[in-house]
Amino acid sequence: MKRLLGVALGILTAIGGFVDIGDLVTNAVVGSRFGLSLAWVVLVGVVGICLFANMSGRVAAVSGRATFEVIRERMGARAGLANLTASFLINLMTVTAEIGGIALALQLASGVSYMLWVPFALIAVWLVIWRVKFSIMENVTGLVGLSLVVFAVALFLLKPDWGSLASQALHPSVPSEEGPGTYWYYAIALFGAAMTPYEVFFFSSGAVEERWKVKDLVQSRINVLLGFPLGGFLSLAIAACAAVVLLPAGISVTTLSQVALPVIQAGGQLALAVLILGVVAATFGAALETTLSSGYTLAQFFGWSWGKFRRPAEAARFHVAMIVVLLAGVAVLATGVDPILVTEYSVVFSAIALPLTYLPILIVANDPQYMGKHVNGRAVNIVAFVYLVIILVASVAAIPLMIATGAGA
Amino acid sequence: MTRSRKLLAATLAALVFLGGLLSGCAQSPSADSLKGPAKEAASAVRTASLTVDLRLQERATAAAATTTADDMLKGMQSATDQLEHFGAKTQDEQSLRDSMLAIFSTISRSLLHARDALAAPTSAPGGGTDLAGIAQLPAVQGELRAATEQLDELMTKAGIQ
Repeated sequence: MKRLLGVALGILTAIGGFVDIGDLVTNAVVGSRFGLSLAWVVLVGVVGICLFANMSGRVAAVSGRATFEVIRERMGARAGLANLTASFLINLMTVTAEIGGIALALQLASGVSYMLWVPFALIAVWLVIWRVKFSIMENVTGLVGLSLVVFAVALFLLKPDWGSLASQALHPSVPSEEGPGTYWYYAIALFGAAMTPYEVFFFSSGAVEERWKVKDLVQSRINVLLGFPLGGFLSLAIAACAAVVLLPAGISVTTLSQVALPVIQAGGQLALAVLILGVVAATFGAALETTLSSGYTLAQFFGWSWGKFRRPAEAARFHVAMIVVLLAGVAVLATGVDPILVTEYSVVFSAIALPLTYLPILIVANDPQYMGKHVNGRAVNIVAFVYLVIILVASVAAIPLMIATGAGA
Repeated sequence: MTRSRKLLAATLAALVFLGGLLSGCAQSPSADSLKGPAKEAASAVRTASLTVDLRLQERATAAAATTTADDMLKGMQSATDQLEHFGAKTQDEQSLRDSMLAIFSTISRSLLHARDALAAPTSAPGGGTDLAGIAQLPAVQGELRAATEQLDELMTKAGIQ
């Protein structure tokens, strides 16, 4: 019974923890401009993140070490540095976006400018990282983040034309008002949002934090294979809500307040309250994960003592690195840059950096020295290779498309 | 320079060249450049209109509604800035730009009115309803719809979808 509850908790946490500010904004933007014609990208992204998160969880459980640490050792300092540089910069952008997301959600609740909420968000994130146990932190934010199910409920309350939505999803096409370049630019952004690198580093370091062993692999696989796809459904619900309310009204999403409008229309003030709770939990959880991820990658590269399972005094550099990352994120926000713009760029840059994250994971997961008999099977390697090709194409096409479309304008 | 570095440099140069080429091809410096600000303005005024509707139905809270109106005002400011920096090359472009700026000004005014009306309390201190606060909203809604129509008309005339 206890094991079953553990599995259920893991799945629920994975669903609630799947959506972050990148997913929220990108799915709403895409829904308001392209309807559900980019739903297939969410599917491709979810399968990809399941594949590689499962792989990195397996590396951590079998070797007892986090993926990044193994990559650094297996592939040498130069490859490790390339991986660190790319993932660290993306992490920094994502931390900035998530803290901005918390502040924007609190502005939606209070009407008080988000700039005034930023310092509170910073202190709250730091306090939780400093004081709260890893499992509590992960489970609470994941479970409260489940409030975002309000998007799915709102979709039903809006009584959409299901046939039309299904047709948009099953017969994707570029809307007449948008160019093919913009369509593919947002396809890459959506893919980057679903496959953000921090998720795998956090997942594997979390596995070490929670002391996973080989016997825990089944539970981890269930969490990933059920939790992430259901999280993907939440992403689709966000896009569908925007497609039903905002697209016909000629509204293109550029702010978080616009993301909330379909939910408000469907469920009124109660739904809005649930939505704000969900957005705060999702962005807060993701801010914790990205901040920890930054600390993990730095500490694992330089060989510092790391982990929340150690007292802060025993992992001082790890904790200082995270404080510096948080302060850097807040400094960026203090310039007045729009957090939503940071989010939009962070998901595209995520896509650009994907090969540097996922190729090393694939190499390590195939190394019998680390994995023993738990190396990747043939089928997994074939799918992973196909994904590497997709990732490479997305990565190479991202910058030219960004320039050509004026970042999707 | 090692072989791998040469390859990296060549790849980067190719990407920069391709980017430059694409950005050059992407937009002609004509009425197409007005499409962005026009669509941004249209989206802002329609968002405000939907928000006022939701507030009239008491579905949106005052905090959420004013936040949305504030966001749309910022969006309008950005669209106006883009339009002001547009260098018209022909008399037609100049005329289109001027007409659009005039409508943008109308939209900004109506958004300001919407923000003020949405921020007005709808509950009187004694617990009753402050009708003055709510009463402004239909008038503001009319203003927003009129501004939307003006912009739509101009966009159709200019061939902006």
